[in-house]
Amino acid sequence: MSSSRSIKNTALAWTLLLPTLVILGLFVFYPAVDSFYLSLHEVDAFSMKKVFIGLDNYKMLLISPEYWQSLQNSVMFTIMTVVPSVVLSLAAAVALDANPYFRNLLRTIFLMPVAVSSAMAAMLWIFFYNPSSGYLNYLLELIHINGPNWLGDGKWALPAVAITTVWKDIGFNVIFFLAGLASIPNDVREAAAIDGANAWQRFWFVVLPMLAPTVLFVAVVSVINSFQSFGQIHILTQGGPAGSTNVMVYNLYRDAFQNFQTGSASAQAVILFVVMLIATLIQFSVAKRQIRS
Amino acid sequence: MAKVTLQSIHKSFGPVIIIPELNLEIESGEFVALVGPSGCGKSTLLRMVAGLEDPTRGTIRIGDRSVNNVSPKERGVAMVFQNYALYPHMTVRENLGFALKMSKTDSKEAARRIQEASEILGLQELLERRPSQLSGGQKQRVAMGRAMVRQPQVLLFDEPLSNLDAQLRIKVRSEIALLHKRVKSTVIYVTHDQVEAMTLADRIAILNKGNLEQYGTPMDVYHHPKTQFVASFIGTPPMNFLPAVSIKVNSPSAASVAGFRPEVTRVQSLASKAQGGAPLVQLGQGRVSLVEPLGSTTHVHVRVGESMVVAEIRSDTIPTWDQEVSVWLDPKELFYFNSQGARI
Repeated sequence: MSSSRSIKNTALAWTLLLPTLVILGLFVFYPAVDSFYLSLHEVDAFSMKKVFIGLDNYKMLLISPEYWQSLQNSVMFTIMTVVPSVVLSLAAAVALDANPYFRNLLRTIFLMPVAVSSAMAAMLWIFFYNPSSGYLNYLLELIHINGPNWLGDGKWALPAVAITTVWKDIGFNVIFFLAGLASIPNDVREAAAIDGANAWQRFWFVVLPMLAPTVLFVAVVSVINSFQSFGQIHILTQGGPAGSTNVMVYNLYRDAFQNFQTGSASAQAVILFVVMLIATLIQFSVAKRQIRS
Repeated sequence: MAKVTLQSIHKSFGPVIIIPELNLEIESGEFVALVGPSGCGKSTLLRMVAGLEDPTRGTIRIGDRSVNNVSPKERGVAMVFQNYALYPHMTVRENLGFALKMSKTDSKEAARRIQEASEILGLQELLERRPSQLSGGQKQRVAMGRAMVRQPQVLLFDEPLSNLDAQLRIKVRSEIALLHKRVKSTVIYVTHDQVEAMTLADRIAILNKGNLEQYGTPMDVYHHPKTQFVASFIGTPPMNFLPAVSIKVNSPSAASVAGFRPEVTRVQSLASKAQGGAPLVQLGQGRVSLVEPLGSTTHVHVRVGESMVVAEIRSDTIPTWDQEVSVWLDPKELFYFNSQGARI
């Protein structure tokens, strides 16, 4: 009786899991395994004929200055987006949490950029960044600052793309931080107030440590998103000027779909995966230590 | 320790009036319990003293100064919360020392106070643990220790025992009584449990719908309740009430309700007359609907007319369920209340 029920339960579980497993298998696991397989081959662009070349694709990438530049760009882009995005969204969430008035309205306003597609957001910012007629330089001019050629200057292009990304991601992070803040019992904050902590001390010594798991989650997701950023770069700069915004994903895209170097692009995909895995593991180990302490 | 004075306190949240107007004086070093049913405004009152809520009108004084515009940390109060409100990411030692860290107390002095509090409350073995590794009783002791190390002028307790099981409640209750004797702070203790209030407090303030029904010593409010509400709220089991016209005793003309305590109520089988030193009168007859043996005493519930009467019996002769009995009482033990609930 009980064993037939257990078989039934197992069958039901597999039936319910099957659609997800099929989708994941077709669109995630198979491409992932195939990428690794392709990364060990030289693939002819037209005939798709594959020749096994071992780790040659990886060796070529490791001696390519262009690839190292893309790796450096990705790291810089991640720092430029994740740090401001986490800090600003946390600040916004704390401000919204403390101010019940207009909370829902402001939350909606913060969330609106998330609902806009990357392409639309990038188009919008192209207008802002226009060196001669853009709003940004117009506003800078009002305070007597000669604005740069945001997307055309190698020094400013990566920060400009990062600003667009931060603007787009903040609302998403605010939602998570608001949920995290709501889970902190009010009496703990009140106890801290009675214990003599001012607003800043309450945040620093009580709220932030209790919010640490949410901060970790948001930071990890932001890092992964940042390494995978593509749409805004493709529309704003196409990796330029002079490769200054050519991040790992964009380099991969160009090799795969413009240069038709499928083997090399697959190797880059594998390296990108390893880099993101290492970044995530480092974050987890650092945050775990801090959460524990 | 300091005197706490609440003058003409009114509190409302938007259109909802929580406390219409309340005056209360708590002497320096006194232990005062605020009791009342849920929603009577007792916790709101405590939070106003703590500075976590502002009174809509009225003045709160701690010592000689008005603290209406003084932040919680500058009021010289400490508070023990119902849900402990410990900092989950800090060890017990850090929880105890947090207020001292905020006030930049000298580290040696802080260590001494933490040591002293942990010795008094038996927390020495737990100092390096986090709240998640503690039982409910231990958490409550840490919460008390956290309040104690600050050496506050006024110590506030917001239903501190309500999350503990019955046995632990009795244990922690006695710890609170000992704590008060040691720290000598003025204590304001909110509870809906009148047993806690009776056993701990020097004086009890009984609140009903934001109004102060009576303020006095535990024995005073027990023996001389000013209203039917107080009479019904103080005492376990609560006072019995019967319509004044239904009892066979000459009651005052304005009396609407007659009340009497279960412990002075006698129950006898119809065949026999109640025994006792005082001249007893029969209040009525009815059937036993419930018998609750508690060990040293037994609670016998008798339906008399439309009302239920509870008698607390100490003798071995206990009526059985559904038995026809008569209810007897010394008429001197009767309390009379008018139709507004005021004592006559």
